[in-house]
Amino acid sequence: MALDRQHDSKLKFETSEDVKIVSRFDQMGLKDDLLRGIFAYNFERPSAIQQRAITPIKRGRDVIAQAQSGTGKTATFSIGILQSVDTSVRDTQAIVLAPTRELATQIQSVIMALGDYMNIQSHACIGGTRVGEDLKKLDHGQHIVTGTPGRIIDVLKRGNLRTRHLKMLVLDEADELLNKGFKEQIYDIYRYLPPGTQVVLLSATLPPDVLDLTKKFMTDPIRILVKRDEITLEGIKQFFVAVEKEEWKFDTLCDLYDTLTITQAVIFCNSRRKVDWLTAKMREANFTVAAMHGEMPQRERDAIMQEFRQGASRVLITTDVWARGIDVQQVSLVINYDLPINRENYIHRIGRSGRFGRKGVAINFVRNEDVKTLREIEQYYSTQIDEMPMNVTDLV
Amino acid sequence: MDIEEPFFLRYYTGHSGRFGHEFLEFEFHADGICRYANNSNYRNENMIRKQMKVTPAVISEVKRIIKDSEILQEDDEQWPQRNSDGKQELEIRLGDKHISFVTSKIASLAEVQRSEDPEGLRVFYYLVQDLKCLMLSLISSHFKIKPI
Repeated sequence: MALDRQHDSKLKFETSEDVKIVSRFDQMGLKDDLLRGIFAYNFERPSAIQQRAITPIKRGRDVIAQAQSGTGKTATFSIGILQSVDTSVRDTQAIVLAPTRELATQIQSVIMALGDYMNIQSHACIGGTRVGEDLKKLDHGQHIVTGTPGRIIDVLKRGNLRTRHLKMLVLDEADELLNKGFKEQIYDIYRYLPPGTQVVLLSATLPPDVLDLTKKFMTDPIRILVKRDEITLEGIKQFFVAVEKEEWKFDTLCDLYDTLTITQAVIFCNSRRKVDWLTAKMREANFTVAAMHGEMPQRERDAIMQEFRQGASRVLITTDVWARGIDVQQVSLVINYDLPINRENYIHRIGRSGRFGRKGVAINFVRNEDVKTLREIEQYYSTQIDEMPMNVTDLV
Repeated sequence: MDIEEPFFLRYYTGHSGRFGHEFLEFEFHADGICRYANNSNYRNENMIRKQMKVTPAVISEVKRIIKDSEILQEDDEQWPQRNSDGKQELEIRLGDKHISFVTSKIASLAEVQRSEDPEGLRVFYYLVQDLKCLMLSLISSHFKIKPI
């Protein structure tokens, strides 16, 4: 075998050498009213990414931060932003971009919670809502604005989101935002920023081709990276069920329904149509399920999110609109009714369970011809995905 | 346990395709040296290599797993041939026994059941699962930063 350590030096992207570890929030040099907010939020000890990334963000460095799903990336940049915001200046000082409306909204509420003692003004600008509301809120003055790229461009162009005092741009789920669908919009937004704006990128998955792109708009960034073979969480047990025919997936799901409802479960399909179809079929068979995808009106999406967050609904059938960042701690089971179309979203989808050190289970439904793809995912991440045992209920 | 007993284990699973030669490979040596590699060119990814040294207790546990599995009594003659989906290799030297098996990747237990030598292949399938589990646990306890 060609194991040659000298090859290691050729690796292009490694965690920066000067990353320091600060193992307590009260040693990070944060403002008192921010520290109060952090402890009131029930954070005691910073997670690995928080120990490493908050300090460089606070010092104004460009930062690329990678960490396993559900290990505190949102709080990392939120604390970084809250520390650098000057509340006596009413203008927008930080913009946070996210790929979905629900995530942008969730981030805004985390910022508000952590900044509870700081008199922070913060607003989420997302599509599917009346832009007039955004303009009113922005004119009132917002220290921190979160949002989805389309709406953010809109309010920038209208001139209501003013960037004169902007210090920081955060791209959450950065690899998704730099994928084909979003990249041009991100570059458009970038053109509105004052020169020297601090840029912070985060995701659980940061493929090298994306890291390569960052050279275009980041200056000497601090990189905190996780190798692909260290990105799966030990707390999430992964299984698969092999079926001969696609139709058999439905029967398998019905058999599993009692297990699903023990806590909360998310079922992923690859298209909106399939979500509608599966939802109808489950309801026809007298199972209670909720469904959400990007074609629904925002008002309906909001209502479904609220019910699921409150635990009023326990099984959610959805698309990749739910794959990234959404944090519902009671979710302990994820089902891939369809395998995701890329390797990154496998990590993000299963990461909807096992939040912040909790246990989780992921079950992949695969037709015989898909097992190969699943085995490739398993090998790529150096993880183990075994056939589902009969006692899966005991693991949830 | 006889420390001088010759011992070596190597496992490889891999395939070549649109993301280059993707594979996972690891070795256990008698002196406790363990080597591991994972390669892929997916989205410009590249080789990851790790090496560590484990105690004699770990090596003797690996030997116990091998002996208990009775893999050394098996033969790969009737196992599925390597194919376009890739191959697996298992090489073990233990005492005066030396095996070097090659077979296809195995999708599921149903495939084991359908094969020409389901009993032998099942021994291989479960042994590989156990060895992988041990190696990946050792690797992550040696190298992985606890995220929480």
